Amino acid sequence: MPIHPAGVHAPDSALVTRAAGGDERALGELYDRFGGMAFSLACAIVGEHADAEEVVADAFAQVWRSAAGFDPGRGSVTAWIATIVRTRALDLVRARKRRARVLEDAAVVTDEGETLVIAPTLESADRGAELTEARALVQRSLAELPPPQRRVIELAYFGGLSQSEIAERLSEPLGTVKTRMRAGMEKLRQALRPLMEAGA
Amino acid sequence: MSDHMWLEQAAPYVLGALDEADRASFDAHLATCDLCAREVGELRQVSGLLALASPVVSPPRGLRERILADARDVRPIASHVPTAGASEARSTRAPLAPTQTGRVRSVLPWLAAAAAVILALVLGQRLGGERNARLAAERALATARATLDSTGATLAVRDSLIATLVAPDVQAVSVTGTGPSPSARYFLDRRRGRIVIAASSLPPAAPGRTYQVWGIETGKPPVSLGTFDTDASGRAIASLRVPAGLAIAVTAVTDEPAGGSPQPTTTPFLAATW
Repeated sequence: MPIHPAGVHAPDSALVTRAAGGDERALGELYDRFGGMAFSLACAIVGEHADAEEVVADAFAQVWRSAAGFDPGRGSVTAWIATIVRTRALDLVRARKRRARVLEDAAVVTDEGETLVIAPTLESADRGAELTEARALVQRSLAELPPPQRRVIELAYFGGLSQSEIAERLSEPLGTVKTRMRAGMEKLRQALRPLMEAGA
Repeated sequence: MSDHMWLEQAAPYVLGALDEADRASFDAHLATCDLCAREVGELRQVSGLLALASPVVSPPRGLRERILADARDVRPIASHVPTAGASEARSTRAPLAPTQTGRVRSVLPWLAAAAAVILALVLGQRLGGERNARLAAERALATARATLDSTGATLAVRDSLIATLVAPDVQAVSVTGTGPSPSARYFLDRRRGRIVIAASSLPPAAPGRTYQVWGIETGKPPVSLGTFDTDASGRAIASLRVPAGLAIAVTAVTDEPAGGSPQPTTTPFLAATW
């Protein structure tokens, strides 16, 4: 089940190509598809909505400027945009030295594995259905990881911590953190394979 | 390190969780290893999907308009549109240039400063010819070897760095600041999107600071290529990825807060023209 079946919508990568040629409507459509994901991710990392708005605006400006450099062979548009948003969000967090607060407040899944409340999204209705399905699988897969594995992945992805910093924070040996991170990512790869683009 | 052991670095790499020295080593290795590059490509999709684990928050209503308004403020300067699947090498130009400062902060003053510094600098001789390039590579390798020895890195790291340094189409530039100040050699592999900087006589950055390398395309804001720091002996070698589509005309280094800055905040040095 690819997230974006060809024939139903213009492929994501085609939108990026059009944006690279200066087509503003393509940028608008990219925002319609990925703006909700981008803003949610930015909020999870930076905490405050006003900061998240800056992050997402900067990120889409970068998408617009660097669209010509997007290489579909190196990953999906989802992953590309998520990487840009996350990098910008972590830059902001580091710059403002609010790392500690963010880590306390923005934990995405609790250690007890509580399910998350899924709020309505701004994606257009048909796209929303696909994304909601994808989102549910990602959240379920993450929730089903052994909590220690999930924790190190969350600290790295949403907290921007290195393996050494995670080891220090959790008072665990570095080798243990490395093993958990690898094992957790491997399980996620298996669980999320239906969402990954064929051949990539 | 065997390829199997390198593969173990892929998961922390895509999560951005490798420590700086490991990340630089793995970056260098990635340039030469298809196996690891494939692994990273696949795991990047996994880490990309993690974004969907964020609790859903609806963006503010005005954000879409603001993004499109910002986009209108930048003027396309290249009509080159890559075909689907275009390689990085073919899409050598980013399509757009800012026409207003606004959100692209302090770009023009910085470019003016960079130009002034470049004029003021005693630029190292532009190296030409295969023999000179090889001599430069050998000198840089001596630096690389010393640096890598001191950090306990492995022979495989050296091999992959060497591969970058002696690739046939690599351009090399040496730059020296005024006085007994730092010097650096840059090795730019445009085709593979990689630049190696070998710096010497550069004191380690102050606590909480780092050195950041910038690539500047003519008429555009500087783009961060990454950060590095020198060891106690004042040496460093870093292999950095050049963003696809960035046609570098000038490279330079600035002193920035740890983690780097979105745009330079101090006077650039070790500037090289390409």
